[in-house]
Amino acid sequence: MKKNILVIDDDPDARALDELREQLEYTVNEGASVSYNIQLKTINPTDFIPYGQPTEDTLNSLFAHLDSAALNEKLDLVLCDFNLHQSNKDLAFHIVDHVRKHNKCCSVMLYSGSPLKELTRINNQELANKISTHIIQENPKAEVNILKTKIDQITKEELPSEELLKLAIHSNITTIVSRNNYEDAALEVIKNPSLLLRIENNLCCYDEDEIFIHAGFSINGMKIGVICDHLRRQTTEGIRFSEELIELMTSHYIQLNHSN
Amino acid sequence: MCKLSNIYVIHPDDSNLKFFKKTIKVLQNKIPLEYVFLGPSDTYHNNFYNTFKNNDHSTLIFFCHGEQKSLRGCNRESAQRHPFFHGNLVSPQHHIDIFNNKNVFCMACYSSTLGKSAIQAGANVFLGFGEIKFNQNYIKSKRVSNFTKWEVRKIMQTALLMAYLNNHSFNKLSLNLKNLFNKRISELILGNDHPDDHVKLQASQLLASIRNGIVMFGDGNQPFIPT
Repeated sequence: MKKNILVIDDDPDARALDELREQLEYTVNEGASVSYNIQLKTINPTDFIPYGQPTEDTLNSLFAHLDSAALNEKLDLVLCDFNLHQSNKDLAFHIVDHVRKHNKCCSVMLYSGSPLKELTRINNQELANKISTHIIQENPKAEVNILKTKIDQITKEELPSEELLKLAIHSNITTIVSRNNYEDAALEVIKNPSLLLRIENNLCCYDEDEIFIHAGFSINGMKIGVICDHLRRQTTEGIRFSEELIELMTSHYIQLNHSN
Repeated sequence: MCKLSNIYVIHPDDSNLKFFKKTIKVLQNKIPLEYVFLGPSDTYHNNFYNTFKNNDHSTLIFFCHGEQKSLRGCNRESAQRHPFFHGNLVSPQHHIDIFNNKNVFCMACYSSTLGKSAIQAGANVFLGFGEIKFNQNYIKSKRVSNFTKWEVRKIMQTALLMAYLNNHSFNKLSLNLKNLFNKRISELILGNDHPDDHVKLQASQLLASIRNGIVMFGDGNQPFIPT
């Protein structure tokens, strides 16, 4: 049995990651009734996106690589550096958003030297961009007072990082931690998977070509591998499967009051 | 003794473990395994060590008694002897080297506490169990005890036969064990195959506690049939 870990970092430390892999393997095997191997893959976004603003093409090439390397199979944990790219400070949010579109089960952890500072920096950078755009493109000869009014208006209208925060919340990030202790956090996260990931883990103990047989289930006759895929993407079939599973279990064991 | 295969069953002379004799017979009918009996004399226990200390890669199936970090051998009480008068059969300080290069299935109380030491001593894989409450201190009713033993016997022989016939890995063997326990627990709770609800309920609780005690050490990808 295996557990898959994906590390997204622009400066991966191979030795530290090897140590982390060993620690994770020890943790998941402690007290387990089956043995697991940890497979750790590393992706460096700067291999796909050169310095400068990412074009749609470069982003797509990164996403295509993500898909083929990690997102078409079970994924237990994604470890993503917060500050991935010199000129694209919010790249991590877009990568995590892409991961989540393919996999709603896995745990996702962001790490950074200082997560709050990074958020503020993105915030300030976006604000500065909006102000400079206004000055340069819309009103290059404006008086200072008028500019001040405009800045006040911009800051009141919208928090510049609001979109990113929305993206982060929608991406259901498991935790954001400091780079200094991301190993400890990773061990905690892998010990406490979500309910969906627990269900997927259980199914993945079986051969992916084995057939699930239960006439009462909507996925009756489907291969385990296909069910896992539905579960990961939380398709209509995947959602129904998890609901039916809980429903069946409950109705099996609930104490019915036969006297009524 | 003519060697049949590299699969061995180790079973002591012990009235509480007699119920595994039937399991061993069923397995012997289908699997060319070697039966290592631990009788009430030092010779049996010495032979046990001598058989395995320099043995090739093989699979050992224990149906024994166990305590914290030890396996016990014969438990025949007599006027002159105390229970387990041979002391530890295997413990981290005693004959642990027999596990070197072995795949071990160890159906014995607390055998999981021996797992780490077994791997350190060179075992490829070690599948152990936790507390198994057949003791009369836990189960007041003989009927519950006998009924549960019968269930455990059936589950063990089914899982081990499946493992042999399909050459499953130890991971798959463990998974099948859990499934067999789960299916039987459900049948006992939901079905009507035992007239006494009290017996069914206690038996299912015992089976659940045995299932929860299954722990794997080492490489679960090791095949049941040693190559």
